[in-house]
Amino acid sequence: MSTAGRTGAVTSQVRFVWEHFKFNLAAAMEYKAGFVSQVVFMLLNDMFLLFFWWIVFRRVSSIGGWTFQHVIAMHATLATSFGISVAVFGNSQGLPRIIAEGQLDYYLLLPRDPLLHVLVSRSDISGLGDVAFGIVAMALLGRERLSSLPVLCITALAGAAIFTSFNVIAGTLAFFVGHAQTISDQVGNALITFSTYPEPVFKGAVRVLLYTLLPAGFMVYLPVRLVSAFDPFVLAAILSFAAASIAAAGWAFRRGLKRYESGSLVVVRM
Amino acid sequence: MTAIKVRDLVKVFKVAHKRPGLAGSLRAIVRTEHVDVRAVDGVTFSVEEGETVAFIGPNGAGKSTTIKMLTGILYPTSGEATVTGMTPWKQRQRLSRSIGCVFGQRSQLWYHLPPRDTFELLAHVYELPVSQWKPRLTTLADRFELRAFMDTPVRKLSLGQRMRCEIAASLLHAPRVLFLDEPTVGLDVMAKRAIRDLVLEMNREEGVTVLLTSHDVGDIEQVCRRVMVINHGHLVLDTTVAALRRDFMKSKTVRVRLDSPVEGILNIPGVEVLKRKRGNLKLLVNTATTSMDDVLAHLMQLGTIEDITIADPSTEQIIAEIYASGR
Repeated sequence: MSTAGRTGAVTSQVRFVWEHFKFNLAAAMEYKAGFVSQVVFMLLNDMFLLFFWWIVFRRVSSIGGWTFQHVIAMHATLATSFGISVAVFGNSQGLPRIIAEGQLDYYLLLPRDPLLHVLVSRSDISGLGDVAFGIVAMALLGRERLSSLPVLCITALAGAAIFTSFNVIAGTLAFFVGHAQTISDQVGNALITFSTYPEPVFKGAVRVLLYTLLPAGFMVYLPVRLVSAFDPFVLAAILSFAAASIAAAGWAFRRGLKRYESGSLVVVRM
Repeated sequence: MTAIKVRDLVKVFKVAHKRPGLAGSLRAIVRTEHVDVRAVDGVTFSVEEGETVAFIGPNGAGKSTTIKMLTGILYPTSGEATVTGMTPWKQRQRLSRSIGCVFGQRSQLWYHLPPRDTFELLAHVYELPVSQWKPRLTTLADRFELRAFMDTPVRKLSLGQRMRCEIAASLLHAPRVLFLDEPTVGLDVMAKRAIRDLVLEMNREEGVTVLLTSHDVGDIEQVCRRVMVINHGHLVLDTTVAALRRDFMKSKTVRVRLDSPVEGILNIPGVEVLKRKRGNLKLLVNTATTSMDDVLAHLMQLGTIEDITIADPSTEQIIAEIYASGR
């Protein structure tokens, strides 16, 4: 494919994602009170988590060299990454159920990449609350960290790609073992849990795990390092890992699709 | 020109076989036994452009599995197939631009949004230019009489209105082949008639090839000219609907309630009494030898008819007839 052709294809995919996000938003806004409460309560939920860390850091000045500023940056990145992932690619966490119940049929009948299509066909609106919190948290970092804002935004997008890909890879297990929703939920929760504690808490083998199988390192720890001191090599490592994650997710899904068995469940598109 | 060509198509599902009870479940964790289920077993047929073909059979016969392979949803275990010249499981995305699919039990409409929004999103999905999809939508909205509820959320539509939208949505990109899997399931008589008329109209006016599966013999008789019967994954009959009617649909079941109990022996030529209880009768009428007019005339002599239903034979009965005929 030529460069112009490739650019056109990317533009088309971005527009495709945007159109679905708009439709999901419009569908969610059919129930105004539910829409507003989901966003506001998620924002408050995240604020309480940060409040907890504020209390901790009133008693200790740092944890393994991490200050409250590091923790704010960590939560800003995590919440924004997670929020974008669930708000834009809302079906990533439900993929095992969709595969096992044979609900991929609809996506396979349309002239689009079925993985991207299934991911963007649902939006968890509470993710917008997470994104709002991420923006508030970035603002809390203060004026001296303002220069880090573009880096935080880029790494949050990379984090969203890593988190979504991670869920897709775990979800494609359903092609091979059938019921995989529970294990997928558990590894997804493990990734989030590890991403909510300062990196110095973890040592040795666990640290290795966090830069490989449960990539919290690339999702939040390296972005926090970038806020403290910008390093183009660290940024390149994050972006490369995100690109590799997307490629691995696409490969795993295509492999699994050959084993897809469909189903006869009654389905409506919410 | 051939629209669909299928040769020796086979689909084998590996199904886990578990013994009953908790002991069986524990045993399955240690050692899972699998059995091969041949859902489609060497099916061969072809469909010419513009044909209307019914694909019938009992539950689990292999109808939906065949359609899913022809639309690229499932990979076959072996065999060959082309739809509009393309191999579905190899050229699925390209093929999707020339086929339309309606699955009666699966909606492609966004439940909380009006149908107009789904049509617009589908236009984006198919990357149709505005100059193409807007006039097409206007035509479909007129033909399918959708205008009155185009801006009503789908959740508030009746099943019949929803199904009209489903079929219109599947035709937005002007496909050459339309796959309909149980399109009238759950609909009332009037809605069924509307759907059948619309499918026929699209076939006549746009030359769309139709492959339809249904349990409703009415769908088959009113929409299709040709019928293929599948059972246990094998194609057991490929004939015209007229021949099917002539050879295998020789009876109708009549349920009637009369205002007074039926006394004595009921002797109507060509009619077998299946059940009788006071004024309620269930009759099997041989339509090859006896007209429904004669049956009704006899019944009216016995008393006033309070209620009556006349049913075609089920697909299971038709298949039993086919096997009984030695085919």
